[in-house]
Amino acid sequence: MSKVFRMKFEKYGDMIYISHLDVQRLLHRAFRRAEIEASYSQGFNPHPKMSYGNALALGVESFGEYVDVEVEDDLSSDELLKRINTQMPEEMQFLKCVELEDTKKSLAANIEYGKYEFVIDIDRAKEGADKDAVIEQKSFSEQNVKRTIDEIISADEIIITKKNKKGKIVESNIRPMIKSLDVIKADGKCIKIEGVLSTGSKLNLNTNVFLPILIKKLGIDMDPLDIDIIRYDLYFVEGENLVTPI
Amino acid sequence: MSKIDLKGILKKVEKPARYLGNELNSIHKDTENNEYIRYAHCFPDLYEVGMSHLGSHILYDVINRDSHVFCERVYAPAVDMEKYMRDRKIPLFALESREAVSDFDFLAFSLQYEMCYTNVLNMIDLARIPLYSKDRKNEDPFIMVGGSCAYNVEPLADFVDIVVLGEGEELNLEVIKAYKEWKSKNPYENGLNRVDFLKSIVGIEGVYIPSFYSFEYNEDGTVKKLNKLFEKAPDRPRKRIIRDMDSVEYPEKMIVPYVETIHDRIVLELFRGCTRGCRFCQAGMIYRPIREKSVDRLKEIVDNMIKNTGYDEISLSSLSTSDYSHIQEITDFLVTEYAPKNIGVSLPSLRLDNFSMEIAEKIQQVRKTGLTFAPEAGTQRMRDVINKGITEDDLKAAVSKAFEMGWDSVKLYFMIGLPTETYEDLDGIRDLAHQVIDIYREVNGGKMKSKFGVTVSTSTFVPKPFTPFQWFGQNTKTEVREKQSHLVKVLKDRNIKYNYHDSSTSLMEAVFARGDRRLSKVLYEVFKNGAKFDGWSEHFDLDRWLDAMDKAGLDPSFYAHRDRSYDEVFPWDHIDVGVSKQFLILENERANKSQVTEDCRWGCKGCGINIHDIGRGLC
Repeated sequence: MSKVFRMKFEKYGDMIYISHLDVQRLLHRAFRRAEIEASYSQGFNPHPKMSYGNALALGVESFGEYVDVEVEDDLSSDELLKRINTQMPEEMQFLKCVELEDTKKSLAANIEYGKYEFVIDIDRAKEGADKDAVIEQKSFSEQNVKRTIDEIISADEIIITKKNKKGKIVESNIRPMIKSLDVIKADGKCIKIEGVLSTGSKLNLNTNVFLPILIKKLGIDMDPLDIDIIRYDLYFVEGENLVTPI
Repeated sequence: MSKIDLKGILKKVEKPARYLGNELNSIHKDTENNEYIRYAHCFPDLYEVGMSHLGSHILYDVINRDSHVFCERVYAPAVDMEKYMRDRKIPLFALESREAVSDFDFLAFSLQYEMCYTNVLNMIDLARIPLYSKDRKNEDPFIMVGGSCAYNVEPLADFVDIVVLGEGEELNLEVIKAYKEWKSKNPYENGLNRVDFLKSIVGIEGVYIPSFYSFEYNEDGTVKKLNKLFEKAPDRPRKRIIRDMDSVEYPEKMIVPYVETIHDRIVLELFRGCTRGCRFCQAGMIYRPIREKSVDRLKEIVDNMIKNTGYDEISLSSLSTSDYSHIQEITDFLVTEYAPKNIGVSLPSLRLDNFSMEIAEKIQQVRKTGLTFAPEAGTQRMRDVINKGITEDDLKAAVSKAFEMGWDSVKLYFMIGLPTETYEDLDGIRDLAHQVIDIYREVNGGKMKSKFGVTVSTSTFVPKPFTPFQWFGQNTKTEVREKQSHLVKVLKDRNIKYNYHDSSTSLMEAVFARGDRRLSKVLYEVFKNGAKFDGWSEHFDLDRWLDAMDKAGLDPSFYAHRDRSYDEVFPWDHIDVGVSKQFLILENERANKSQVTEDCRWGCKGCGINIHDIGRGLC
């Protein structure tokens, strides 16, 4: 009899540079080395049955990644957690493991939000910016940052344009996908903003769409890739509340 | 040495995981608290290509077992990464320690194909080491090269300090050991120089120091003679081999990359060498004699590798895998043992004449991989000339059995531009492809499934040193293009897909494969003009190379297209690979008469390796 476990893991440090596909391969192999027998799909190209919550973008640190794994072994969730962690890299360990009784609430279909922290450091910004870009300390002041966040939150619309599959330029409003934004720090050298953004298969605000808008409003002419992104967790919606999957 | 900080760059380049160096089974030694001999194993291509090279894994494992040495990996940074490195003044660094290799003791490059030479120069330059060996100072690392191109290293000779010929498991460690002894005497404080180290290692069998030899040329550009400049250097540097394949180490804890590489699977080396004697094949000549691993040793290796890596596919790798004397036994074992664990087994291109369909069927029990055959030539006459002794009946039998077992597609590899080739031989390719289609139709009761396909792939023949065809002038680009056009025409069929490559790289490959030292000017010039990743069609620029050759006063046709005579002295004649020149001449003569030479397993053909110190008693 096989069991399904819902597992939570972290991914930080050097591990932020491996892609979602790399993570899938890494987990397959880690399970093999841990001698845990994953259940395999049928058909032409059998693969282990593992399904993920949301593909984490490359370069983002995360402390709340989720995967559902079907396993043939008769293991307790504690045993599974311990065994698998012996085969995982230090910067990508499993944090929680729960046996799923009800598999109907899949990760991919039910995750709606992610909580993020964005860190902008003035020295990093200057180092990575274009040669003729001007980056000023006042953009990093508490006054400027608070004003910008208030502006975003109080707006009804924030319009972005992009090309659709047919090459036509379409407009969309990303404001509904920003659930909250708060200033954690802004001291003239470093900005830290915490935000809850739509993440998931229903609605998804990509950080590489959001961040260029944020820095434009902040008035910082930098490469958005020099912003550190941390995703603290992912959330289902239950009634009024945001709830983590396990 | 300080560690290089890559944080501001990695998110901005493609596949940043190439540069992390912390993969599972990578080896890390404490360089802060210990003195190590620093050895950089450099593969002059992208990470994904280098990580698929078995020889590199073998050397990384063997050298690191010496507790006094730290062997780290270096790959050619991709073009985007290199730009950031140069803009931000970041020197070439080793993956594991992220320390600059300019302070290392050795940079050892693995040369697997000629078009990587510009990457070698680019990497030396990125490492801030003088390109020419004559310009290097005592504090600069020693640049060492090995691999199959090392057998004719002359185009690179001016940039290289040490060449290691043959199999490196023992040889490289002997060079390192000599270096340890040398360093312990504080040589540079006692009036010695780096050339004295080179002098001290000429006695190690397998070591070739190019700067201890010089060439004189005739008016017509051919080699007049080789001069030895250091008395103690051997007249003929000789390759090394490992005699006992079972006792030599094997990387049972192979590094598992994060990113997708060419071979994301366990590679099991069954044997080295080959007895087929195909006349175009350099590997078949230079890796003699044949030496097998025992089945028990293989079982031990594969078991450990699966436990240490977690890979779900095993690939059997050797020059002619289905020739392994216990092929049935090993594949039976692998399938029986690992199929229930959903671990697949794959074979690369299969020889047709002893191909056992039972083996293929067993392998396919787990996962269906494509079927590839390499007839290499379209007619029996042409196959006899190149000594690829398979018949049309062999191909038909194998292919029909394959279709009966449920395969729906087949890949056929051929070479064009072979010695004595005519358009009849090209039409033979068409005939073979059509026969395959007919067989499929017959096996499937007259019906053609839409997923059926025959892929025909042709590559341009490049004559290589140490082969019976080393006297042959390559087909010109025009000749090749005409042949390719002809094949496009005659292979036009809804069931056939024909793949071929532009022959520009084949031309330069031919120039450098049989090149001499004068080509170093060309390499330097193209490097200065931005050449890199010349093995990749999107980066290779033929005009850049032709201009450089012109500037150096050298003609590509002299190297590539010229037919040589038997009395010509070659730039690689002084290298001893154990196979005699007389044997190669004899084989070339037999080729011209379409005479087949049987597999030497069934009777010695006198290539010389068996009576030679290198391979004595091993055949």
